[in-house]
Amino acid sequence: MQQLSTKNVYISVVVTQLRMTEDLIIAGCLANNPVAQRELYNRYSPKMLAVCYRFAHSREDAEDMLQEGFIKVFSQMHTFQAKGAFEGWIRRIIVHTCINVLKRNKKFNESLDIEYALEAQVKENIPSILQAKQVVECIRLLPTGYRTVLNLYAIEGYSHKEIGEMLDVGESTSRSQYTRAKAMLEQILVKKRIIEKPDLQPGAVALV
Amino acid sequence: MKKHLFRDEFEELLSESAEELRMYPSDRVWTNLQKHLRHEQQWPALTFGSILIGALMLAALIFVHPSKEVIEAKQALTASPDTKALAAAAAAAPKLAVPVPVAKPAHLETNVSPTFGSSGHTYSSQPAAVAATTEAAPDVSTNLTEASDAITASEPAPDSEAGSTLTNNELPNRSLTLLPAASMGPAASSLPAGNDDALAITPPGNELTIANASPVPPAMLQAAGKVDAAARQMAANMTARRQPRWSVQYYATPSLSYRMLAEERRVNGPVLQPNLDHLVQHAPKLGIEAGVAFLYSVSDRLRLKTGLQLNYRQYAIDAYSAGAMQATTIRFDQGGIPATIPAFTDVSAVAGNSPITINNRFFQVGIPVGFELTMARLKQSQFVIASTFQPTYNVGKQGWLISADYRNYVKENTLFRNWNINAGIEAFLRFKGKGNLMWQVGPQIRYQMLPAAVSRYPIREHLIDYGFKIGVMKTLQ
Repeated sequence: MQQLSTKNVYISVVVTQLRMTEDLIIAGCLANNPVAQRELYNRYSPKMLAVCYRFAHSREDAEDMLQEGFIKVFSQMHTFQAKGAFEGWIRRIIVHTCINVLKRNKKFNESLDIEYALEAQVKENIPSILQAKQVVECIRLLPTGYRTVLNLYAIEGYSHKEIGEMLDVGESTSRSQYTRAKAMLEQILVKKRIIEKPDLQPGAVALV
Repeated sequence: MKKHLFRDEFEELLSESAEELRMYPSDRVWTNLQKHLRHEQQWPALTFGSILIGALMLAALIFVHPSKEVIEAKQALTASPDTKALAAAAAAAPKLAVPVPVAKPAHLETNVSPTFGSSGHTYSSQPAAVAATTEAAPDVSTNLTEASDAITASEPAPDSEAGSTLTNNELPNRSLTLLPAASMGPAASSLPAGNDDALAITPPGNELTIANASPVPPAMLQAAGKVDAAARQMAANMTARRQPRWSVQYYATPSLSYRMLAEERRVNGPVLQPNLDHLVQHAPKLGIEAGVAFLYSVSDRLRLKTGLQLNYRQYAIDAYSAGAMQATTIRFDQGGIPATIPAFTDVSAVAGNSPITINNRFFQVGIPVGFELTMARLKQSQFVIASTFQPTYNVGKQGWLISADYRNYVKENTLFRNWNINAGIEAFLRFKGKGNLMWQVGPQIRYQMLPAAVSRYPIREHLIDYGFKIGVMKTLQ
């Protein structure tokens, strides 16, 4: 009887752990439960660090952004309303944190010559096994302003209007920045032989 | 991988590549994050420390720092031995002695008031009279304290005749002329205008000799008359002055916190467990309250008081480890409609797993407002009862609530009230201490009038503390 009871408890524990749903994590974080906080961090930090990495200058900067972002996530947990996806909510906080950090450091004025970027790309030994990693590393070669707009528009899905408001620039500025960023990135990707140079045929790569 | 890119494909490539990427942060991120998260929940030591240091500084200022009169008197005496300075010192000294039952003037009165002169004049040790003789003996460079000590040490015979000798090892080898008169009451006699005698205490070597010196210079008698008049005026002022009404009190009360649980019966909600006190096993733990209070005497028996008080109250709950995080709910009332909110815990209220103890702890700042009533007066003590009404604010809290099914405990600080009201009653004995200090000891009971949790939480928890209060009080001049 005792063994049966122990077994039931064990199964219950395993099942409970498997069922550690988003709702439980949220409830735990709301109660400042350290286990729930760790679970949330473990679950979302790899993806969110990749987001930060695309915006940051270095991995260390990206980790600092991640840390700041998660502090906001935990402290603003009570504001989350279950209307949208929890991951999307976290991601928005992280992206806004990245933008704020960049604004704080005033890195938007940096400009980078395309030749330098291409050269830097060659110098940087990017592993060819991981295409995703390659593409992201190429994005990171772009000047900060270009990179930020490209990240926000092409990957995060913000509109130019929203980007303009986030970066305190006009919508048209965001558009032109994106166009230039895209052109520059294409050159880098072609140079890296990740993509072929687009044909000048109707329907091929065009401007936004 | 090479491919032709079209407009959407390019962006799709970027998006897919970015989404696929996973990066694992270093340990320092979580370590820093954890520090930040735990730091927010730490006990507000800075707040408590600041208040404590402030209270101690105030105590030091009140209990240790000498009064303005003492400083002025000392400065006057050490700076100049002339008549004015000594007169000022003499005038200031009795003020210090007013609230103190045993003080220098009393000694002077006891030891020096006997008749010194053979002519039958009785001189009470009125300090002002000391100054009167300095004109006739300008080389006197002693001060009042020194003279008082010398006289106290000499223990003169009450009926000592002129020319009697007082042994005093501490007196300097010099001529000292002294006209003692200590009593500040109307009985204090003054030197008659026509008196031909003057007292001179002259210690040859280690001996203090009291002898008649005759005749007295008219200037000396005139000065004595002026000073004596001033002394009488001062005595009249002091008699007319009101007794001090304000007191400051410091106290600490070690206490044991108990709690009483009851489920509130709501209109639309059933009472699931009518006897919660038996279901929840709780054990009292030692807490403490400490503070400073200012008291105002309305009458001889009644004092009003208020102040600032810090409370640390805690109690333990016997629980069991659930082994892993479990989903549960906390019952909640939304406008009379029973509802639940999801919760997450690893602490069970049901026996079975390994037993653990969890603590509910509260750090509070309170402003007690109340009164003291003296019920009986003994020789050196008083029996007093007191009551206070204490609005309190939780500056730190760590609380566990029982779940809706009474099977788990949930750590949910946000459901505890920040503001609450306590009522305290106490009875104590108050003793006279050194100087104008009063010590007090006695039992105290404090009851938390509002439930610890917010009103929407259906289970009402009231705390009651049994403590023993120790305090010290000083009358403010």
